Order: sequence, then C-alpha cells, then structure tokens
Amino acid sequence: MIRYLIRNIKFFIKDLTKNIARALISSFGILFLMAFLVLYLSMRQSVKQFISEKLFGSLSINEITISPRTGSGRDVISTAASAENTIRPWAVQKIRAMKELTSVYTLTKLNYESKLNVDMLGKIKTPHAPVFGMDTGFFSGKIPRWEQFRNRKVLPVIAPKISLKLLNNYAAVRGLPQFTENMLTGYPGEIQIRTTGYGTAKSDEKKYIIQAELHSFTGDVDFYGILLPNEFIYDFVKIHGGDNKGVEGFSYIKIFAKIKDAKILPEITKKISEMNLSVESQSDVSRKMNQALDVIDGLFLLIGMVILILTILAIFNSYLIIVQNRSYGFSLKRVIGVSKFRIVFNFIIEAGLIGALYGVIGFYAGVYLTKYLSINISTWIPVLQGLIIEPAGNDMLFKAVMISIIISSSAAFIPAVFASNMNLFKAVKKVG
Amino acid sequence: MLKIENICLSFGKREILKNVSLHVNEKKIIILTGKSGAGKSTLLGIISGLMKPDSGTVFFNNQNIFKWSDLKRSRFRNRGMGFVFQFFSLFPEMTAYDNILYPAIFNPFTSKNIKKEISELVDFLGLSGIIHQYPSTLSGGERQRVAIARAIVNNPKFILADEPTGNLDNETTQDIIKLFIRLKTEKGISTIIATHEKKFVRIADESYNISDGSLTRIDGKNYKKKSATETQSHRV
Ligand SMILES: Nc1ncnc2c1ncn2[C@@H]1O[C@H](COP(=O)(O)OP(=O)(O)O)[C@@H](O)[C@H]1O
Ligand SMILES: [Mg+2]
Repeated sequence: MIRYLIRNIKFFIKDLTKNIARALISSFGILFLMAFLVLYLSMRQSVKQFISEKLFGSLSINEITISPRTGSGRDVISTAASAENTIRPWAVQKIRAMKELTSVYTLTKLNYESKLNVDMLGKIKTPHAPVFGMDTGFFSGKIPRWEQFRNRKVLPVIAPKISLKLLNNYAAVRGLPQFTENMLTGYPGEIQIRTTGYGTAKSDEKKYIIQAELHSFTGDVDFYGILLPNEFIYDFVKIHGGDNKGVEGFSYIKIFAKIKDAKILPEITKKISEMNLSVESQSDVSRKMNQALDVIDGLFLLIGMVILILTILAIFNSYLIIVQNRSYGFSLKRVIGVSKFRIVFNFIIEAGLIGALYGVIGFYAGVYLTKYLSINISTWIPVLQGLIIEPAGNDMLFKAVMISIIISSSAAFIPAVFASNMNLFKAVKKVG
Repeated sequence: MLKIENICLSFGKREILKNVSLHVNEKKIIILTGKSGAGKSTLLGIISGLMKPDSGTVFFNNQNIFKWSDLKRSRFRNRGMGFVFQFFSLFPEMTAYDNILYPAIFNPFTSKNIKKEISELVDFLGLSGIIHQYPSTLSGGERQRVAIARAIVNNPKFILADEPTGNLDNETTQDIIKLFIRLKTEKGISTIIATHEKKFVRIADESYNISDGSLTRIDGKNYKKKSATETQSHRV
C-alpha cells in the first residue's frame, strides 16, 4: 500500500512538472489579486485610524460647537459682524446658564479695524489682521503654557497654524530655512487698533498701539487673524468703547461647550436651535465620517470583487483551454482506469499548489507595495502627511495563502469536472 | 465472463445499436466487423463502461457494470480489461516504458516485481531495444506493441481492440494478429477486435457483423447469417 502511494505521488509530481509552466501562466492573475488584498487590508486600517485622528483626535464625543445660523451662509470669520451672523449676548447668557453644559467658551471678534506691525525677515510689515478673542480655559491641555494666555502687559497672541505654513512657504521661496513653532515663540510685534470709523477726520482718529508677542499656534479654532485672550477684548471695549458709539465693540461668533451627559444631546440641540443657532456635535461628525469610511470601504470592496471575478474568470478560462489541450490525455486516462474523482482531485491539487505559490508571492508583493506606498504616499497626496501604513503581519500570510488556494482550486473545479468527463470514444470522433 | 444483453443506443433520432446481445467467454478471439460508422466503436465504449446504453446492460462475472460506482467501473477498466486503438493509444509525453507502467500505477495490487514483469513483457513483445524512447520516435507497429504491452500489464481478462491494425502495413498487421493469438493461447486473454477488414474473420473463434444497428453472427467463410440470439442458444 505504501509502495502504491509512493508510486502515485511520484507520478503525480512527474505529471505536475510537465504541466506546471502552462498552469502557472494561466493563474498569474491570482498574484495581483493577493497583492491587492494585502495592500487593501493594510491600508484600510491605517487610513481609518488616520482620518479619525486627524479629524477629531483631540476632541471628545461630548463636545459641541454652537454657531449662528447664517441665512446668507456667509461666515462672520471672514466678513463684518452683524446681528445676523453673530450670537446675540442674551443667547450667550442663556447658554452659559444651562445646567446641562460645562466648560462653555466663547469665540469673539473685535469689531474695530486692526493691523499688525511686525519685522518680517528684515522688512516692517503692517498687514490687516482681524482680532478674535478666546477664553483662556479653552486651551487647557491643548497647547503648552496655556495658563499664560491672559491679559498681560505684553499681550500673548495665538496665531492660526496655517500662518506658520504661509510663513514657511514665503521663506522657502526666498531660500531661507524653515521656521518651527518653538523658534517663533516670543516673537515680538505690535497690534494697532483704530476704534473710530472710516469717515472720521484725521484729528479725531483714535488709535491704540499694544505690545504683543507670539504665544503659540493653534489648529483647534478656525479663524483668520490673531487670537487674543477674551479678558483683553472685554477690557478694551469697556475702556475704549465710548470712542465709537456706532458699533458694538465685539461680537460672539462661536461657542464651544461640553455636555455633561451625551445622551441628552438631542434635547440640548433642540433647545439651542430654538434660539436660531446651529449645533454641531462630535457624534454628528463621527457619524458622518463613519458613513464616509463605509463608502470608501464599499468602493474598495467593489474593486476587490471585480478583480476577484475577473481573476476567477481568467483562471477558469485558461484551465478550460488547458483541459481542451490535454483532452486526449484525460480521456486516455479514463480508458486506462483513472476514476473521475481522481482526475478532479489531481487537477484541484495542482491548482491548489499553484494557488499556494502565488499566495506567498502575492503576499510579499503586497507587503512590498504597502511599504513603498507608505514611504511615498505623502509626496503624492500631501494631505496624507503623517499617514503610517503598517504592512500586514505574518498571520496575514497564512490567510492570503488559504484564500489564494481556495480561489485557484475553485476556479479549476468546473474545468476539472469537464476533464473527468472526457471520453476517448467521443474524442476519437472529433480527431479521427 | 462478459454478457452483453439487449443493448439499445440512439444518438438523437439515429438508432446506432438495436437490441444487441453478445456473450464473450475466456480464451476467445471475437471479431466485430461492419462498415465505418456501423457502431463498432460505440459497442466497445459500452462494454468498457465509458458509454451508457439507453437500455440493456453489460454483466461482468454476472455483475451489472452500470450499477457500479464510477470508481468501481474505473477499477474494472484498469484491471479487468486492456485497450488498443488505431490511433492515439499512447501518452506522447511519456517514454514507452512509462506508458506501459502507467496502468500499474493505479493498481494497488501491482506487485513489487513490476519492473521484472515489465521486462518479461517487453521481451515477450520484442520491444527490448526501444523501451526508453518516446512514442513519436517509434514505428506504427512498435507503437501498437507498446499499446498491447500496456493493455496487458495488469493481467486483464480481455482486450478491447478498436481497428488495431488500421494504419499498419500488411506484414505488421500479420505480426499483430499473431500476437493476439499468442495472448489467447499463452496468457488466456480474450480479445474483442472491431475492424472493417474482413481478413480477421479467419483467425476468429466467433465473428459478428454489425449493420443497421443489428449484430449478426458470421459463420466462417460461409457468411451464413443467423441472429445473435440464435447463436446464443447454439452455444448453450
Ligand atoms: N458522441 C456521439 N454523438 C453523436 N453521434 C455519434 C457519437 N459517437 C458516434 N456517433 C455516431 O454513431 C455512429 C457509429 O459510430 P462508431 O461506433 O464510431 O462506428 P464505427 O466504429 O463502426 O465506425 C456513427 O455514425 C457516428 O457518427
Ligand atoms: Mg470506429
């Protein structure tokens, strides 16, 4: 019996070596399929994590943002304040009084014309810079030395992260070295605020110069200008508001708050909406993001399925051709007494071995591709800077090989059954 | 040993075999003649179990072969019988030796002395010099002798030979005919030879003609026709 098995295995291997080249070529597509699968699985997890960290890594689920519901859709951040695009003081008071909310912080905007005086790379620049205000507590844990963001003699200024980028672009164009946040901390400048309106005669003009220094950069608030402590905004308007009775010294433009219990979010949203304000919560954002990810997932899945089907069809087709080409051999085997089961079995083992081989090669191709991608992706798609794609681990190798074997042998199954039904009495008719 | 009973087979509307019956005993050479397209190959296909008749059946040692599983029928083909065809008898990618060995591979009862047995067989058939050549380098007669060696390597009870001398010259044909006679007398193997050449009739123990789907016995050179069923009653 053992001799019988050994003889059979020997002959199977002999047979295999004769057919392997053609079969290898016909199943070549599996390699791409497996490489794609490995790449996809590696990327999916990393991209998902990256997106969620990037979008709301620093924010927790119970945070909400309240904004004016601007009918025109124009944001007060980039246009002048009006009753329509700001949050009215009575509404702010009401929101502050809500027991369900904690850590209520307001983003304000000073409604006077303001300019910066800075020595920028040897040249004095005086760009327009709208002044926004934020509560000190808001930055707790968000930026270093947040406690120093108060109304002091030399006023601390927080700049939007984007301005650092602009500065570095500017530097790059002139062949200067890049700035880091630390290098710029403490950088001095002056803020010019003119409380009187445009029509005012030069002699009646009221202008104030305030010494300031850069405190830090932030990406947590979106504003286009400079951010000063709210304490300063309130004091300044209290003291100098009388200069120009025609305008409100400052406006509330956004409120950040935390809900004590995330479950009552719908109620709170309703209450605040009644004040003609809109509420956006992180759970909203996260739901939207998950939907977006689902779409990405679905898209990948669709592409994967199409490749899978094409691969199976291609393998199926080339196996059919192999069966046709070897039909004489198969029917002769049947005549000599090889059972149908054995023909199908051998064929599928053959396909399975090829599948295993391509599974291994495809896996390593996929890992290589993943590594290559993770190094280069940020140069192609700058937004993805910082995305680290972890190549699949070795447990994935086993899965890849198994999947590859299953695909290869199932694509070979029907051709194998055809092969097992070859009949020399029919074949002779065809050829002779 | 073999009982073929009331076989009917049609392809579409054409009736190829009509109620064909035939008994084959040990140590007999049986000739099936008939025009090309008469249904000789089809009948051999049915005897081998590779084709199923519409009705009627084949008994081997009193067992209905069409009631067996494919596996059992495959074993029957592997060990119970051997095949020789006009063309296409050998695996072109194997040497003559591997071709002869092939059926023995699938036979668990192959003895450990298979090499010695094959070399005896090779001597018996006069193939010693060419055993490691590929079929494409062999002459027609050599190929047929290799095919016969393969047909008998598992010591079968009978051989099905479909036009075994169809593309051989006269002299080689005589050699092959002598070989079938030797297989009968020395190894006790029966042979069913399908051929459209009438010259085989003289070496046959029994001869039949297939025409219009019916099998008729031919007695020697008299061509005296009798129905197959009659012949059976004669034999009993
Ligand atoms: N698979 C098949 N399908 C349809 N017709 C067939 C098939 N096999 C054989 N035939 C027909 O059956 C008839 C008998 O064929 P065959 O047994 O090969 O004749 P012979 O061997 O006597 O020359 C022929 O007319 C042939 O065309
Ligand atoms: Mg024929």
